[in-house]
Amino acid sequence: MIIAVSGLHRGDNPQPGPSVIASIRRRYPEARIIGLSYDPLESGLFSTGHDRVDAAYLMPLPGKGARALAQRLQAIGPIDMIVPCLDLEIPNYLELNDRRTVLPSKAAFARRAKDNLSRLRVAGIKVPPTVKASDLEETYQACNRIGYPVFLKGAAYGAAKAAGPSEVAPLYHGLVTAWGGPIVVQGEAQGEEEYDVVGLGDGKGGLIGACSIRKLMKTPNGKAFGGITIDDPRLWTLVKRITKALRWRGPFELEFVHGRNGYELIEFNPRFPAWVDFPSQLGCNLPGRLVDLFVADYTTPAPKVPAGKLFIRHCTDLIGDLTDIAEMT
Amino acid sequence: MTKLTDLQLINGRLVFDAVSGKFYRISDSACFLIEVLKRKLALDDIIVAYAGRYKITQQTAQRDIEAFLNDLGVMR
Repeated sequence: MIIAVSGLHRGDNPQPGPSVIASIRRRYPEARIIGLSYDPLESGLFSTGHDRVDAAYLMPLPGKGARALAQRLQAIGPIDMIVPCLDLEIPNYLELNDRRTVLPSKAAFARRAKDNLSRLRVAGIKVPPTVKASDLEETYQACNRIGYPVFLKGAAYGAAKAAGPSEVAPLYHGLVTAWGGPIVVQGEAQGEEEYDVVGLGDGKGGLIGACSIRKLMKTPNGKAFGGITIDDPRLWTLVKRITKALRWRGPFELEFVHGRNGYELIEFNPRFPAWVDFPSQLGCNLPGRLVDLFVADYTTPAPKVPAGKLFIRHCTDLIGDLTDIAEMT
Repeated sequence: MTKLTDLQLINGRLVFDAVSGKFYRISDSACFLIEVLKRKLALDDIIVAYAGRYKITQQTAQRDIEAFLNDLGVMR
């Protein structure tokens, strides 16, 4: 089976691809993995370990649209399954209705978008106040309505905290320049502890498996650099409720803040997180079960990871050669 | 509020709250107290056992235990 995976860079903001590849190989050791890359220097291209790619191809940036993606995939040749691992790619695959993916419906995908997140309140999920803003004027109005501090978030990616009005304009322009508009203004969730949940939905409202962690260490932009598994029935209930409300099909990552208001959902990412191989190593192999779903439209429930298991990210130097880059250009 | 049933003692040196994911390094006396609290002994029995183990008066033991419970925020 030939499986294409994207999101291959494990830099200071690590992407999920190599972790997804390692997990798939655990369950499907015979799979041939193709890397879909946007840059010849993506670190995963240089790996020779369990998370290596067997071949790699440069892809048009997601902003080029679905047609460019389809043309490139056709030029690459036979691919049985595609696991897109970057948020920005998924709308193009939904647009193509590519049968080689396991993705949610367009409606479910839209309902978890940052500016729609508060609609999950009808399912009993607490979400900080969230307002979409199309320009700077609207951004100021949204900030004033919600009250400082607030988080300014790019429509698909990027976030920064504004403690007061003087910080709004530079953050707004930075986000719009990097990721385009509109942006989303989100109130600060009440709490200091951050929790992440990786999960896999069956598309019928069921949850195939999930693993919850408390972030032990974070990168400067808030990504988990270390985490410890927890077992909180309240969080498990929320995750099941969200999966059911959206009838989510495929992988997801939920980000919560926990404080005096309980768990508040601050983000719903439509893909596996970069730490997904951590639960896989402990038997909760969600990417492997994603392949099961693709192959047979059925999989067994993933076992729970017991509380108290932890991961610490460890960066190493991979060896490369200019010939590797030459082959990719 | 942490529940005693959610607390796991790790090698007598750490206590881990499986629900919140928080863990703390603890002293020998704190470990002893958590063990006896998890056994749901009566407070008077805990005081006697604690005082006996650490060779202190029951009055001192009671004060230590109350301070510990307040620190831990444990709900029995």
